[in-house]
Amino acid sequence: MNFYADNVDISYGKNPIVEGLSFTIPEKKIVALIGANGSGKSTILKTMCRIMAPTSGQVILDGKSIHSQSTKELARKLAILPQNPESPEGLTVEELIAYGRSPHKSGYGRLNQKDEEVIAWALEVTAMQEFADRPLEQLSGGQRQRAWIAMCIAQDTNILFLDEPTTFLDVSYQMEVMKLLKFLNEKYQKTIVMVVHDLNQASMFADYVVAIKKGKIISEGPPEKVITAENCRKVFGVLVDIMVDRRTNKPLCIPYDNE
Amino acid sequence: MRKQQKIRFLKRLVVLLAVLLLLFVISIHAGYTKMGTADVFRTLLGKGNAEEALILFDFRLVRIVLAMLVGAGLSVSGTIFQTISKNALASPDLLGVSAGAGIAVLLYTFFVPEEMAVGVFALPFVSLAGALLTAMLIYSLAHQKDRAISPVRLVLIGISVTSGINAAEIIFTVRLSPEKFQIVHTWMIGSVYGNTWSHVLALLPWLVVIIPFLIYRSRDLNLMRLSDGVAIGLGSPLKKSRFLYLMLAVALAAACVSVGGAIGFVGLICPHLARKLVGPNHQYCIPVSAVTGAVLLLGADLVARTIIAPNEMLLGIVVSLIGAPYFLYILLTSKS
Repeated sequence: MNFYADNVDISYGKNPIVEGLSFTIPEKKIVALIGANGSGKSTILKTMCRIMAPTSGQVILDGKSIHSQSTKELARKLAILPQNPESPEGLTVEELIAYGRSPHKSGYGRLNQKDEEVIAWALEVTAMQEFADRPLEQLSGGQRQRAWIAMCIAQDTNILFLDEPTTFLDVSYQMEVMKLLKFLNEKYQKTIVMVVHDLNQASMFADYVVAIKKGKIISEGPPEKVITAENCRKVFGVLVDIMVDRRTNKPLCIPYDNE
Repeated sequence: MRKQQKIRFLKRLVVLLAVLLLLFVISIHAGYTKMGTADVFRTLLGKGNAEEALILFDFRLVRIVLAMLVGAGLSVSGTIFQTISKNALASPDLLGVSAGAGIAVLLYTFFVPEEMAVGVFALPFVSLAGALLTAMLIYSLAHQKDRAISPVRLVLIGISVTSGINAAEIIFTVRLSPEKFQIVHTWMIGSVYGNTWSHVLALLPWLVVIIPFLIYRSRDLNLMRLSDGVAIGLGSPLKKSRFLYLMLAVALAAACVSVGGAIGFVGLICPHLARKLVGPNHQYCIPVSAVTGAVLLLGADLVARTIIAPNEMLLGIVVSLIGAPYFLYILLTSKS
């Protein structure tokens, strides 16, 4: 896999959000994009996974620009979970997961043995078997998020994009979702790129952290390099104490004041 | 398991088809001239006298078939509109298709002198042109460069264009001669009375081509109900799809409106009912919504021509009487 943004500009209408971004996604790693609200981290994620198109520059995957490739072909390489995905009323968990097989089907294409196996696997990995027949609207926030992740992994792609997968979840569900992502990364070597709000979550679960401010990358690398008092001041405008988590040896940050 | 949903779909489809058959049997017996079951069968087999054949084939059967076709077409069209806009309140009438068809017919009646008018046979084409033009107008107004069309924009612009057209309609209607007003008025409320087999033949190809195609593409349609990001992630070419399915839904509705007039509510409530019955997957909800639409219109037409017999009520009024309360029910129970 060779996946990078090459000198990309992105704008909303006439407002430039990102200018001259170049960034390579490290393979088989968990990558966390961090930054303040409005920093452009979400915009960068959306452009890297083709939901948005850059105004100039290219995003290249395996030698080809993703914005000029067939969207269906790409859907076999990368899966996307946007923020607050909506689903039609009455759609059950298993039906949703079956949608994940769409990129591998053409026309009316019935699901075959392999599709059924993948769906069963996705249910099992996300521990959603007992909820398979439940409509999504009857699930708790954490269960629903697991169902969406199950849909994404049923797509059977090597790369997974998630936009704030833990926002609006309480802390135990946040852990659940993050642990699931870690498991998918470790067991199946999936490359995971996500926008995360919580710095300590980024530090604890990501292998590679990208700090973004005003559409520019301020710092990128392993958590211990990026999550520093200096960077937190620069990126978020907050003063923090950095400690080392004894369990993981990763940085822990405790904000105490605004700049 | 998903098998359960399939079984539920088949069971409910069979029940609906049985209801449709029942209504068909009642409809074919009902009318001003009394005909017993034996007479009906004899005539259907081609052994009735000329008068019986005329009543059965050219009066009753035509309107029965048309009611079913128009109902099915409007309902499937509504299903697609609701899918594209992700809004349970979207329908061909809301998105300007019926209004566009209506104004085209009105303008035609208003400007083309009576001696030149070729009568009802020109109306289908006129209404189709009007509906397509309106849909194009709404689509281009809602369209934003480099982006998949926004469902909310589509609905809002649809509503505003529709009310503009309705206002223009009123201006023209009040200037019509009384005879012309009667024709236009009947058509605008909706009726399958007074149509012929050529109307059936004009409508049938649209349904036979478009509805099976939509069922065939149900996987693609399913994705359009999800968030844009999710649909793109699952490989849906959203921009192309929205345009294609919107045009198909417009064509379907326009063909129905051209024959049955601007019958409201069918395209709004039947898709909703269908999803309640078999869930949101299109391989199930398209066929069920087609049959539901056929049942509703056939039932409404039966009521329309029997309730104040020997006079007739307009079909559109009966549908509205059933539709309006259900619409309120949707409005009160929908979350968004």
